[in-house]
Amino acid sequence: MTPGPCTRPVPAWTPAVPLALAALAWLAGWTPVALLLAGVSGGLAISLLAAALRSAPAVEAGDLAAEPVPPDPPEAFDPGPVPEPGADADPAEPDVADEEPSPAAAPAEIGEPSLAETEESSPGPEPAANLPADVLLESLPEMKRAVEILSGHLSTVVDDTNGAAEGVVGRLGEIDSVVGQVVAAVEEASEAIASLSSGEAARVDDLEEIGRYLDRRGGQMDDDRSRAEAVLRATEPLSAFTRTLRDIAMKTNLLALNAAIEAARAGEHGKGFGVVAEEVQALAREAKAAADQIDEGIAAVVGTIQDQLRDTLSKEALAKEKALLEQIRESVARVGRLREISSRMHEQVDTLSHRASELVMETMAGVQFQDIVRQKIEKVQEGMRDLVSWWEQVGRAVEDPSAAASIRSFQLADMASGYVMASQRQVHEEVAGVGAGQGAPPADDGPAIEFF
Amino acid sequence: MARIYLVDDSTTMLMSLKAVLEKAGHQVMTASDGRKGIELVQKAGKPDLVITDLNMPGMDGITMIRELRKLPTMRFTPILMLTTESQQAKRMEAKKAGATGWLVKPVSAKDLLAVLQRVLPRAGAAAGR
Repeated sequence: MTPGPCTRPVPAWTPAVPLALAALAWLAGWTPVALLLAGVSGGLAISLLAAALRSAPAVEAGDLAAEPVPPDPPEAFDPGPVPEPGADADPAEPDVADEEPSPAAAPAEIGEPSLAETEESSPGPEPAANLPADVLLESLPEMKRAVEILSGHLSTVVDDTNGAAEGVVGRLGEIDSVVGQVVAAVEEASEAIASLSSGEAARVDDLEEIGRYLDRRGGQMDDDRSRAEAVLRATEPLSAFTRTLRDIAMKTNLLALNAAIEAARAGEHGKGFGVVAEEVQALAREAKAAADQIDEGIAAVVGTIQDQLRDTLSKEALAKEKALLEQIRESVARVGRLREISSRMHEQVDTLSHRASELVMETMAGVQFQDIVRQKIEKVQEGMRDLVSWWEQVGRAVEDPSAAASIRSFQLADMASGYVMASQRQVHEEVAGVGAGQGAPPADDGPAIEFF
Repeated sequence: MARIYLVDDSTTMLMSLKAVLEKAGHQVMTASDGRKGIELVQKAGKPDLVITDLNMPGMDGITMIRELRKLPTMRFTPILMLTTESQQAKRMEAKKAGATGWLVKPVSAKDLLAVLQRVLPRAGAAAGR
């Protein structure tokens, strides 16, 4: 619709596209992509401005604007205190003012008086004269500084994102190393446990063996005792029998004595009885001897059985038990060492996982930078829109002098009004100067954490 | 464990802080501006702590604090500002509105948890109120 210099509707949004992409990239976590896009966006915006300035009627601003379009705008626009007469970047600036006559050719003459007026009433909304020459004159340095400020903002964004990205990468690295330490600790412990537990399995077998032995041994003792008791019980009727034998022997002996007495009284006729009596007496003696022998035999058997039992209980059994007890002691010691290793590992893993958890939390907290960057970029976008729309107004005024009345010169102070953080004000002040009345309200920042 | 309400228009902020606070064992609910923050208190009940942004579309953080302090249940509940803004003038405004403290974004997880230790009522006291 507008011929010549004005090609605005498109450019107004051009920087916003890569910026939006950059924001998306942030959200997706593609830091380098986002940085690149943010850079592209800044570059676009500035080349856009350059184009706008270049196409501005008659102003020799093409050079001025073209210069601040290096391949990597945010870096190049480091918001260091820019000496007013613009050392390297803008030898054009003062010249622009000098060369003003050309843009405004005819209008300038009429504009002169109104320039004086506006200077008195500035800074403030100033209805310009019916031609924008004075407005242009006044606004050009402002616009140059506005671009510097916006670039400064983008530089801080780049710093923010670099810092955040480095923080995230650093913390991820630390998390990785902590996880590595956990893995190492677990490996070490599991090796120790493995080396012990092959022995440990054997010890478990030992314990089972001990149990079985104790069971077996208990049974064995019972068997031994009951067998001994059975033997002793079996000898009791034998003793009774030997008593009977002795009784028989005694009575037989008495019988033999009586027979001998009777034989003596019968004289010659009793001689045969006497022989029988002697034989019976001999039998009685033999019977007694047999009973004594049986008694001795029983005693010997009982004694032997008891001795045998005692032997069984003491010698080999004790040796075996001793060995088993030794095994038990070793097993217990191994279990103790296992517990020591496991508790040490537990401690180590606890410490490390606590550290990892802290790092993870800090990484999550680090995402906050996105909010800060978002606000800064929004402010930059806003500033660019303001610049573009101001140029649109100028363009319209050039074509239609009746529109010129509504144009006011570009005011840096307008940009400052929406700042929400100290770094924004700082960048602004570094370029615009605090005392110039163009800066933000003087920074009066409190501590990062304050309790009321 | 405390019940914490986060009020911020940035979903990234909400996501980040919620993750940190939940990892620290707290129960977290979120709202995207001051008006919704008040609604959250009215619907879900009194929290142990509110952390709010300053600049939000809709109702800003300081206005929300002023409104919340009118509720009888919220008179003593700690409310922290967490914002990119660090100017004294705004701090004074928040203090007058009834804010408990002021944190400048970004806040590290360590600092945030230390602040919580300080402002959260002890478990017993929380139950008493």
